[in-house]
Amino acid sequence: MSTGSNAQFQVVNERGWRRGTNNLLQGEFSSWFKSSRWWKHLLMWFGIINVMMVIMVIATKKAAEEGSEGPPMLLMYGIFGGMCVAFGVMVIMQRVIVGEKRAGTAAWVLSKPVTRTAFVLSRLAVNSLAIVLTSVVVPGLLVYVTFGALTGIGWLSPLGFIAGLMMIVLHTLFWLTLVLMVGTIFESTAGVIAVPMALYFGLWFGSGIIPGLVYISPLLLTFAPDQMQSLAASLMLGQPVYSWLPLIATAGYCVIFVAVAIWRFNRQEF
Amino acid sequence: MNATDLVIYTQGLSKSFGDVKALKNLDLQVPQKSIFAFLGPNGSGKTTTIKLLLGLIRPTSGGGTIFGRDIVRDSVDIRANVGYLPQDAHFYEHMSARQVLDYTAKFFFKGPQSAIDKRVDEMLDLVGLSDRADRPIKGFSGGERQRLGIAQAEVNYPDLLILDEPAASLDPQGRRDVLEVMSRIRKYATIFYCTHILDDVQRVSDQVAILNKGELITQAPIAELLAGTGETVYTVTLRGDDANITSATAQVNELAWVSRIVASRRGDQTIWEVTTTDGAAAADELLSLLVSRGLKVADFGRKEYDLEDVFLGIVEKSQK
Repeated sequence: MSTGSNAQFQVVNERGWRRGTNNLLQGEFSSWFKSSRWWKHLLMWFGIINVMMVIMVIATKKAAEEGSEGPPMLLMYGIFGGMCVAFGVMVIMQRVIVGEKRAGTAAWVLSKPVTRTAFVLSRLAVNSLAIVLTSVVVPGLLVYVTFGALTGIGWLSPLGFIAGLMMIVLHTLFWLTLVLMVGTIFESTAGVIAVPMALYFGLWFGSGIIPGLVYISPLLLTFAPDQMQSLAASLMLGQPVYSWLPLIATAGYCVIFVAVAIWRFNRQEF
Repeated sequence: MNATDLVIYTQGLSKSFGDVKALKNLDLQVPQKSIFAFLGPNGSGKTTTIKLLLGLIRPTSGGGTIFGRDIVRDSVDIRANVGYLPQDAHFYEHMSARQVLDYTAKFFFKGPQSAIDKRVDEMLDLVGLSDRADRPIKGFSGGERQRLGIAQAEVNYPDLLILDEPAASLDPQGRRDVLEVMSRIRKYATIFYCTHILDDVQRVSDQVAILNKGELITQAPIAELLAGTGETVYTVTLRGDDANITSATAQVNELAWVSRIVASRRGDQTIWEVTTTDGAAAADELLSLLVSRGLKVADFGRKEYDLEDVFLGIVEKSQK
C-alpha cells in the first residue's frame, strides 16, 4: 500500500513545452513498432505501390511487344506513390487527433504532466516517421530495384533517386500535417477526411483553370499535369527541375499547418 | 482556515459554454488530508469543476489554486502532483493493464525501470487486477476499467487524488474495496471526489460540498451537515387515550425549549416530532413528563439525519 514515498525514483525533469515529450514519443512509437501495425502498413503499401508497379512493368513490356507505348513508369509511380499515399495518409491520420479526442484518450493523457504542444509534436514526429518509412522509403527502394532490374529505364543515379524520393516524402508530409491541423479544428472524422480530399481535387482541377496554381501546389512534387514533369520524376531522371517553387511553398505550408495545429490544440477544451 | 492548509482554493470560478452557465462563482476550500466529497445532481457542474482544476478547460472568469499554484498558468506543474480518475475512463485499447500503468508512471518517473515495475505490480495488486495484468484492456469490463483507472490515478502517490465517480460501475465488493483504498490513502493524500452514492460519502468523507445548477449551495464538515440547522428533533411514539395525548401536546408546547411539535398517527399510535432548542433539556425532562402523565411511550429517541435527507433537503430548498 501507498507509503507516500517516491524517493526511489528519478523524476522526469523535462521543462517548458517539452514536458512529457519523451514518454509520449515512446508511447506512440510502441503503438507503431511494438505491434503488428508497422508490418501491416508495409504490406498494404507494398501491395498498392510495388505490386502495381510490377503490373505496370509487365503491361509496358507487353505493349512494347505489340509495338505500342505502355504507361510511363515515373508517371505511374507519381500516382501510386503520391496520390494513393496522400489518400492513405488522410485515412490513417484521422485517428490521431480527432480519434483521440473522440475516444477520450487525449483528455486522459492531458490530465498528466504533459503539455499540449508535446502531445501534438509527438503525434506528428512518430506518425511522420512510421508513414514515411512504410509508405515512401521502403516501397520507394523496391521501386528503384524494379526500375533497374525490370525496365528499360535502367539503374537510376541513387542520389537523384533519393532526391526524388524526398519530394514524395515532402508531399506525404504536406497531407500528414494538413490532416493533423484539421484534426485540431474538427470534432468529427468525416470533416478531417473531407477537407483534405476537397483540397486535393480542388488543386488538381484548379490548376487546369488557374495555370499559375501549379507552381504553389504540392501536387507538382509527385504528379504533373499536361507536358510538365513532376519534381520527383525530374530529380530521379537527373533532368532540370521545372520550378523549385512547389518545394518551397509545400515546406512553408507544412510549417504553417504544424504551427496552427499547436496553436489550436492549446486552446481546445476537453 | 489558513490558506496554506488548503490544497484546493477557488474564488469566483465560473465557466460558460455558449449561453449555458455551467459553473457560477464557485468558492471552494479543500483542506489538506481531507476526503472531500463533491455532490450534486447530474449536470450540476461537478465534472466541469474537476476539468477546470486540471486545466482541461479554461475558466470564463474567476480562478483558483492547487497547492498554492494557479490552475491556469501552472497547470502542468499541478498535474505532476495530482492523480485523476475520469468519470468515464478511456485508455489505449491495444495496451494491457500493466502497460497502461507503466505508461502512466513514466509521465512522472524516468526510472529506474525496476522501481517502476515494482510500483506497477503494487498498483495492480491494490485494485485486484494482478491476474489480468497482461491482457489487452479492450476485453475489460466496466468495473475492471474503473479499477485500472484508480490504479493509474494512484501510481505516482499523488498529494491530491481527484476521482470522478470512483465507485461507479463497481459491484458491492468493488465499492467496498475502493472505500477502503480511499481510507488508507487519506494518511498521505487529499482526496477530492464526486459521487452519487451518498452512503459512501457518509462512510468515508469528512468534508462535503453540494453543488446545484452550477452553484455551490453548501460546504461544511460532514458532521456539521448531518447535525442539520442546530435544532434537535426528538421522535416520540405514544399510546394512550386521545384526550390525554391532546392535553399533553398543549403542555409540551408550552415548554420554553420546545419550538414545535409535528404529530401524526400510525394505527393506534401517535408519533410526535418534537423540535427543541435545548437537546439536553429534552433528553432529561421530556420522557419523564410524558410518563408522569400516564402516557405509554413506545419509542423515544433523537432523530438521526442521514446524508440523503440532508442532500435532498438542501437541493430542494435551493430549487425553490
